[in-house]
Amino acid sequence: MVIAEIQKWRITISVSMSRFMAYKIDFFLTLLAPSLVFILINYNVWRSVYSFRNGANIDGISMDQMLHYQCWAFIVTLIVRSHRSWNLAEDIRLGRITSFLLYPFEVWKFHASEFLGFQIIQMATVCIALTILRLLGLLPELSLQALLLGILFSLLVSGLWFALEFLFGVTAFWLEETWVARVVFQLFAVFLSGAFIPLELFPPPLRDALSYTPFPLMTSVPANIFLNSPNVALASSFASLAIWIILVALLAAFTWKRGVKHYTAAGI
Amino acid sequence: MTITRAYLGVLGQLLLNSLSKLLSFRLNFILFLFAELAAFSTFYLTVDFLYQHITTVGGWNRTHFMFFIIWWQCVMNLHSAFAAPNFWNFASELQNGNLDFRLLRPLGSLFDTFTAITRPISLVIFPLNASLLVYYGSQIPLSASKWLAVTPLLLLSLTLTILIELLIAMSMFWTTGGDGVNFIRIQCQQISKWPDFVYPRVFRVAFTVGIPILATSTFSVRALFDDGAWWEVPFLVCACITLWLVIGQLWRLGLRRYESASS
Repeated sequence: MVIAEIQKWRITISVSMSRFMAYKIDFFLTLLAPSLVFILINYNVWRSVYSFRNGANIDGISMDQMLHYQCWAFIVTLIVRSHRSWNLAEDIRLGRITSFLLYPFEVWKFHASEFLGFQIIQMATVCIALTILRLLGLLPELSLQALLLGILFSLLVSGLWFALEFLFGVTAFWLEETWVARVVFQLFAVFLSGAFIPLELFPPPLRDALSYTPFPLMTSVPANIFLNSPNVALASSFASLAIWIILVALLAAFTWKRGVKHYTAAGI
Repeated sequence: MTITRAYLGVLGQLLLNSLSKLLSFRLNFILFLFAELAAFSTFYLTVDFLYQHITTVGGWNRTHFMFFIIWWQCVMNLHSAFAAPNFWNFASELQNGNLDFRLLRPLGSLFDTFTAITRPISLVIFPLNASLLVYYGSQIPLSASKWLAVTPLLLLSLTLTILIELLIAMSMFWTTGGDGVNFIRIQCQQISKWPDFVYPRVFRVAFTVGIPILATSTFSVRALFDDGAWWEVPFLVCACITLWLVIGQLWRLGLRRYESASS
């Protein structure tokens, strides 16, 4: 029974990987290029901001620290925010989930396998990106412990991101267009997670308020783990992330159940 | 004159159709509005937070920089309303063969393909951006002659942005799927939302002389700030003319290559 289940996961992951790699240029342009442009802009904006003030610190953050932070934020982005499960919403709207409902492999498992397949490819991309950044001298000496912890944390955040994407996808049971809500969330997530401006430079009241939300966990915390920053409370960050993953996954499961009851199976 | 009136009539009718379609899905209407406000506020706050810690970047103080980003937002509002949805639509019509129907209509096929869908919701936020543009423009302050140049320069920025994206979109004739190409388009917008002086020299030259992405907003705004940068306006006009000629050629070449998935 368990072996049969593992086989289903393994085959779905393998098929997803082949599908992702079938159109390599499209894969690069839709999933990797945005992250590359993101680092290109962030890195250059901060470099020029510091250059125009002759390298003087900004609120105690030196130019090197800021540029290293931006490089790690890029690595976190590659791991956390690259996967997009757009298909779920379309499958629901066009009635394609009917066939999934009949398969002996649930819809969420199919999408989770697809996500895992993507993450396997993405980890190879991350290794290449890390090597290039290191060879270009854009990253300092890497601490193995910080690297492994950072990758582990980022992978868990990607799980949270997947649960959120699934939740947004499921809203297609009620909404004509789901991408709008997703884009709105993404805009706020990028801004409030410290992906461009580190949270240390946010106004203190906003920074305090953000500590009650999952946003800092999405970029700021993992980037600081990579940086081996003493300001990160590892245990509480991992605990807080686990709670958010469970909460969002439960909400997604609840919404899915309500949605399936609401579903009228268009296309049959 | 009659042709221009006919085309404007078609545009007006398309706008009305989009408006009635938009209003029939009220929740989507609210979500779209919220998305526009989110895009605006996050970018505005990003620059605002940045300037809480610094005084100038590249000789531009907070007011100059705010004027620039509001300028970019105005261009993007108009772009999202009249151009953006058509690029996605073009990608899907190329794949499913629906482009055939556009080629049969008694309209210029390039015009019909890239004006078919409008998203008037993006214009709802335009008055807010326009007001902020006036506010920051008066803080700089701009002279009377510069104020007169604002509208033509804004339209020039918009035209160049659309033409660059049209040029990129032409590559869809030669690719398997259009999504990747549309992502390049969006990345170009992301690059142009910061002034050219934040980028290294090589990058600046490539994205000004090669593909004038960085010129779209920076050149127009700089022409308003700095009298010595007047020559950047004729550059924008020349870039628009050159791109238009190249796009015309590529469109014809692309149509020859188009295989029509529906037939």
